[in-house]
Amino acid sequence: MDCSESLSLLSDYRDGGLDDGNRTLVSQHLDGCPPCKGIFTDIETIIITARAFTSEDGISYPDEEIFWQRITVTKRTIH
Amino acid sequence: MSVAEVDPKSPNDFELAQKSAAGDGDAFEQLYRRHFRRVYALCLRMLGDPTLAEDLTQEVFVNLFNKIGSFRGESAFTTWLHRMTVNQVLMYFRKASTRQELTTDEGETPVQIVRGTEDPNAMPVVDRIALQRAIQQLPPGYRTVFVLHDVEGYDHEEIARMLEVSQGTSKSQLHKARLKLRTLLRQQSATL
Repeated sequence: MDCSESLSLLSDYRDGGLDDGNRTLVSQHLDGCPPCKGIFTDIETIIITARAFTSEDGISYPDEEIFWQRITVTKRTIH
Repeated sequence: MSVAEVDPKSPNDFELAQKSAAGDGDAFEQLYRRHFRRVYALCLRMLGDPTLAEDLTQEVFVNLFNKIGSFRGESAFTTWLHRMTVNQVLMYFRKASTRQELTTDEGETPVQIVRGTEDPNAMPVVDRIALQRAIQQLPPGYRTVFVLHDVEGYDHEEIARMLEVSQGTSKSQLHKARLKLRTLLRQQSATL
């Protein structure tokens, strides 16, 4: 398996979506290819970081009171 | 009071939903204050635009107000509201005729690997703020699938159904989104 093939399968490999044959081929390729192994590690890092998100992370929220007024006005308009 | 600080003595979401459905405005306001940040965060992550996220958050709560009587408590209120929010955003994509962007490749340049040029240590330790910033820079189609799968935990079968695309498309978009995020994060670190 070459780098291009390996790269195209990295997400499926990470998510457990490959059959045994392809999983073995990708695994063998990563063992012998530091650049591809580096990309795989980066993808894993991104996924782990994404899974650890909470509502608070990196978000600037609109003012809760002002927003509530907006919703209240809209509700009154509708009803 | 934030989502994590709900007073155990206060009514639970189901009780508040029932009161809201019966016309209790204070109960609805309590629900809003408990869930506002979560809904806004999800809208922002899916849309990547604060103004749009505000508009969609407003639509979600107005929709919630109108449909609260249909909540039967068969699932957690947060799950029900989460699904309502996702559906509202997807409806926006469809109305805005941006659905095309959910299924195309965005013309992304494939990642090229040249042996000896990839430094496995080049991507910095990813903090969540940097990742949030990078997610907002993703093309809409990539962002939607990435947020639904890697942040919100939906599987490809559910995503394919929600977006009305094949599971293969969902997987392909997710893979491209991850690679694009990696590129964006490396670019971020290079400019620091």
